Amino acid sequence: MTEQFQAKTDENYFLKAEGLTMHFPAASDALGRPTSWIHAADDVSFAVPKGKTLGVVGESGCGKSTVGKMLLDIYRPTGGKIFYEGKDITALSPKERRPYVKKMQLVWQDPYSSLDPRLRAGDIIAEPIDNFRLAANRAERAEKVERLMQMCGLYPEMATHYPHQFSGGQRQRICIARALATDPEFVVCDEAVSALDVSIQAQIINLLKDLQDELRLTYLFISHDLNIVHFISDEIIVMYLGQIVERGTMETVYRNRAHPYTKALFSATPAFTAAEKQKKQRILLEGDVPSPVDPPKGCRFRGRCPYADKRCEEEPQWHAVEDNHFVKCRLFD
Amino acid sequence: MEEKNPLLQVVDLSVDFRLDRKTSLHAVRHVSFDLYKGETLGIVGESGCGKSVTCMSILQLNPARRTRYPSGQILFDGKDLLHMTPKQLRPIRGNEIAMVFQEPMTAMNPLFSIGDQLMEALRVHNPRMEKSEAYERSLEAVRRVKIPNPERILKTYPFALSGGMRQRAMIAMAMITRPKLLICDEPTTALDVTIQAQVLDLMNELKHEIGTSIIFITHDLGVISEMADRVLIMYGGRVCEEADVDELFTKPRHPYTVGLIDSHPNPEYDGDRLKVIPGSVPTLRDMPAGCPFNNRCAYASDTCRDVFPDFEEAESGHTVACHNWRQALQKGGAAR
Repeated sequence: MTEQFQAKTDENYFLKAEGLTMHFPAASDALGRPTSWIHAADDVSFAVPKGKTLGVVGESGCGKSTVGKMLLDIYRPTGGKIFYEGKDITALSPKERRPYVKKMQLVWQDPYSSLDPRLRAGDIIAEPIDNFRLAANRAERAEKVERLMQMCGLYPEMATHYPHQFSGGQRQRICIARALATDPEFVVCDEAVSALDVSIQAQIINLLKDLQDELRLTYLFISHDLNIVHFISDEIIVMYLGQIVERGTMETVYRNRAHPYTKALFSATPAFTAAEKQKKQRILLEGDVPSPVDPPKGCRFRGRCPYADKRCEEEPQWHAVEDNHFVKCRLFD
Repeated sequence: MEEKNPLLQVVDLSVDFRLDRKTSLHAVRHVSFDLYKGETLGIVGESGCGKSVTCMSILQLNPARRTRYPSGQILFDGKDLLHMTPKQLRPIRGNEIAMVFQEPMTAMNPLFSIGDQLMEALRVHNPRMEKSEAYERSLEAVRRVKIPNPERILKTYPFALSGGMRQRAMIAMAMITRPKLLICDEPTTALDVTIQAQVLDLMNELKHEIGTSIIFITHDLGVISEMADRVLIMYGGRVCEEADVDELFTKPRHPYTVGLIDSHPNPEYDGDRLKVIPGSVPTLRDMPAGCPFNNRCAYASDTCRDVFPDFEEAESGHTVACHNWRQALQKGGAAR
């Protein structure tokens, strides 16, 4: 990572990741020592300003969920650092980390498997409240749950219902209410609308936007749907096989896609408005995403890239395309 | 598309699922459509709208003991598929009409190699075919769906393939008998976008090469606009609108279609909030009387709560089932 690139993102950022790396052992020898590694995330750096949304896009296996999980201490990163309001929180002990757990929450993809079927909705939402002892007595707890449910568009009378009595959209609202129960400042939405029907998807996206305005939340919005990410995000990072290949503000990246992979990804997203269909020139990529086990040196996209040549066998450098827009590709050397 | 006899005619199809002696669910109500040779018909709708059930009925693949067909005919080349015995259906299933499912991992047999499964598809319908000929044809089929290294792929098992490759193998299997009709039930939903683009491209190529008609089921409007010639929008077991694909996206008439298109985030839309359809999709148990969309519709009147609307021709080849589509168009037209 070049110095100038880092300096730009350094100041006044709310949450910052620096060179986050996550390797999982893929195979081991007779003594249990790992012999090969899954490179789930390699040298991932970004920064999110307070109250903004950072979109993370990429295909399955590109490491976007891993990044979210590292931020929330679900995975301990193999390398790199996480800064929360300037404070390094990477290596804290679980006890020291606890206040940050409270401030950083997660909304999962599948509202069918992320709710305990044996708990009532109200108790699901109250779980973080109990966990962090945020309510002095039962009345205050009930009041908090009621307020959260209203905030997320649920009827408070439904607090006694079980998850199976709710529709998919309502379940996702419960998940959001639960995530907000600790008054977090930062929320990771990991494919939070992907499992929902289209007409419900729009409702949840609007809800997330309203809550952001109201509570000044900062989002890390992970999704494979570029149209949704484009709508909700202020900044975007594009990942391929564990690495960031392009990053910048949403509008600059959308208007002026630089990396060949970003171009292919955007062109592969089906369009249905006539205007868009016309200007669309589809770039078809050959082949599949390769395995993240011991990925090749140099540019990881080079096996599928239409512009690849010998120079791509070396590690590509970061280049500034314009203000707030960076790409990691030798085409910009 | 010549205006000859349609290849497939679905006439007034209704499907009920029996739960117990007293209750049954009305999964599909009075669905009719025609499909011509070489045409791609897209069926769009949200979960539970009856799109898959409609297509499963074509080959009688709904669970036989629980399914009742209170009305309807499905005419394929003049023969009524809905009232055939399994024995009569056998030469049609997988031969003249083939299917591609959403999840290729569950649709293939994990215990047989890809080659065995491809050859089985051929030899079931042509018992006298030599093994060597079946092998040659399988090789060609795999080559045609652009799987690299086809000889090796025929020997591998489904688990060893990636999602995109598996779906290609599924398509090869479906197309190997050169069917007249291919039914695709969400064939690319489980795939990544760049892989989806490859598979869609391939399907269009094969369609032009072989001249197969396709029924394409999906919930993704973007995919449908790139694949279909004509589109059927379904909601709550009913068809609510039918039109040519360009007409449908430029001039949607039914309030549900309008809402569905508007709730898709669109890069050209720069408002702060998405337009939404309020409420949620009703389950089959609590489907409202009259028009199933009436409890979410901004233009619903008392008539909508009692009577399901007749199909009206809004423009030639564009039918809509809504009592108030003219009012909706006037009011909505200003907002759009």
